[in-house]
Amino acid sequence: MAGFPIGMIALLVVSVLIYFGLAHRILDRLRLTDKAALAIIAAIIIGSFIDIPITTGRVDTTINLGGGVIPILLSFYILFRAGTPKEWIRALIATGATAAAIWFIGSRLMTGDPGGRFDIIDPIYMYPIVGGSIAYLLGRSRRAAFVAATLGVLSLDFINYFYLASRGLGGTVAIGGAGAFDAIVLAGFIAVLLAEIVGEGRERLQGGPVSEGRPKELLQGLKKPQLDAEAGDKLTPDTETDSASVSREHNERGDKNE
Amino acid sequence: MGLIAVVIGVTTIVSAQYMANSALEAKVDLPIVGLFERERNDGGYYTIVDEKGNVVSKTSRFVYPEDEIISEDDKLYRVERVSEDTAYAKYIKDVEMPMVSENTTLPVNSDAVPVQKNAKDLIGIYQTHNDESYVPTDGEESIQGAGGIVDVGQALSKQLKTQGVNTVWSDNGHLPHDQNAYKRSRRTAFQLLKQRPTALVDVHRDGIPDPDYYRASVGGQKVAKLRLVVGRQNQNMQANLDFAKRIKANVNKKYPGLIREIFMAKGNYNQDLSPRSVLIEAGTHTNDKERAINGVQLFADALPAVLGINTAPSKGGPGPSGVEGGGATNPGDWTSILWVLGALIVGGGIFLLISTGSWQKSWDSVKKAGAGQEWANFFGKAVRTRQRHKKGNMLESQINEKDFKIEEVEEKLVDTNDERAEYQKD
Repeated sequence: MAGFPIGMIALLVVSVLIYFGLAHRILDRLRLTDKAALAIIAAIIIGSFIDIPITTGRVDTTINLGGGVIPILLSFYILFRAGTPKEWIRALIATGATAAAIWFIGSRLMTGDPGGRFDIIDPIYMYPIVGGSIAYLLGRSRRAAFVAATLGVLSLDFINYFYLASRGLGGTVAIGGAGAFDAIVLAGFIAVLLAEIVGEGRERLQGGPVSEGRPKELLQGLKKPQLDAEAGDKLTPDTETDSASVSREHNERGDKNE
Repeated sequence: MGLIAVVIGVTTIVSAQYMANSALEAKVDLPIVGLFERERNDGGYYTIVDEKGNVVSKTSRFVYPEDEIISEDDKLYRVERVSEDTAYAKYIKDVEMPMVSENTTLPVNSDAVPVQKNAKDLIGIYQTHNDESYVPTDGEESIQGAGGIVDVGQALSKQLKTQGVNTVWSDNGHLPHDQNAYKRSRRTAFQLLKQRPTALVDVHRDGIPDPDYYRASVGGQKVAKLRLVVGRQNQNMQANLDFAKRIKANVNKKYPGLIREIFMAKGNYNQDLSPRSVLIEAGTHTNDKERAINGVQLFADALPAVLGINTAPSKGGPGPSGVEGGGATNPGDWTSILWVLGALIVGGGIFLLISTGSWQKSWDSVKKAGAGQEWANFFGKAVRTRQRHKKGNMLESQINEKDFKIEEVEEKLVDTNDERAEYQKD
């Protein structure tokens, strides 16, 4: 054969580079440093080639390292770092609601081939839109969008497992089996992207974030400088050298990012 | 917190069980393939007509405006409106179909030298809707487990093998037959892709009640004709369309009329995974399975040349050999690249505009990324320290002169590293 023609290789390379480049920027929005985000992308790519068997028998169940284990662990990490129980619960409710919604749309409204009566968009794009929208409406949070979309799509595999098992049908449930390109991974990424675009767009339209009636701590955080009022107060000429203090503050932040 | 997690976990499992069971109940009430397909069996399919009322196509899939068809006689039609069971399409133009250059089909014992002796020639085959069946021969239109379509996929694989082409065929099931089946078959497609196939074929059948629409006698055999479906909702659309055109032109040259048409439909069909993926529909459920099998076997005879796979024995011995041929080149690849890059630039531009608020700030952002500051965190301490040092000097003077205007200073500091602060990562 003629092997892969140059145009095809170029198309694959460009698509993959853009996909992972975008994925990296998206992970960077999730309380991860640049390096951590890169490490996760690398792990997802390498993990795509590793399938871990879970159950064997009539219904074989496997989980892919890159398409299943890593996104799920990342979701839980993000969830645990979420801070308040309120955020936790919001994200989990969003996950449950997403699972129910995408199951209903994918298995009830959109039956048969794509191109059905209710098919506005391919299911692969429907999952993150639904997951991201539900999470965003509940908590206006990128992290919740990631968690809801990732775990919501994962839940379809549980439903599928029970479906096959209860009917006595043979089959394979390959959780995250498409690795870096699995619906689980795509859903998480696209949901964050949507939350980001909608969030930024909304703030831009309303002329900045809403500040009225918000907790003081939150508003403090919204100010661009990390040096808040307290830090500013310390920076008096009497107490210590101003530039040293500024530099130190910056160093601390820089170090943390490494 | 732990208790909440346990409660929610248990609730999730119970509701998953409920959903699975409710899917089961629904399957008892409805035909296996679902509500809309039952309507189709009652006559619910679309007839696509041109401006003069001539029938262009019939299909059981729902048709939308903007869907396009390249008919058997290579005319391009675009659907303009859909009213009840009729879709009204407009003739756009005659399509120039790409032919494989002649030098790809080497004569036996040719002196031409294979260019890639070790190149893998491999075609991946799977069935997303593995329940699809043929009523006259299988008894049902849908069989849970392995439907007749699995035999058709296997026949395609076997025929390619007799041509000396390597194949990797999967009989993985993706039940139930719903939209989420494509999410499940995506995993099968990816498993096949790991073996680096030249092309991926997803084998289906149509669901229109009229068997005559696909019945034909081609190459002296009774066959069910094939339809090629190209998904419009992915970045590889142009590449895959070009590939489909190439298949149609070359297969029909060898076996006139075997490929009924190319349908460019709404959806992705997992064709984002490879720029050489195609969905084939082998007849409809009212055709005999044997006709469908005959059809895909003829298809298998003509497919290798389209992919630049020479099936004639080479000098090095029997079996496929590598040849440099025009068959594998595909201008659609480059069009797809332009689309991808265009989408990146337009999408990125809009996002920057939204997030920064002005063209000037967007441009500054791009310049900053270009200058490497964006990646300061990646490139180790050297870059970062140098930048910090530079900024540090400037800060000192600013602070002295401007009497501790911290905010202004911090603006500069933030620029040195585009890492988002924790408070922004919510």
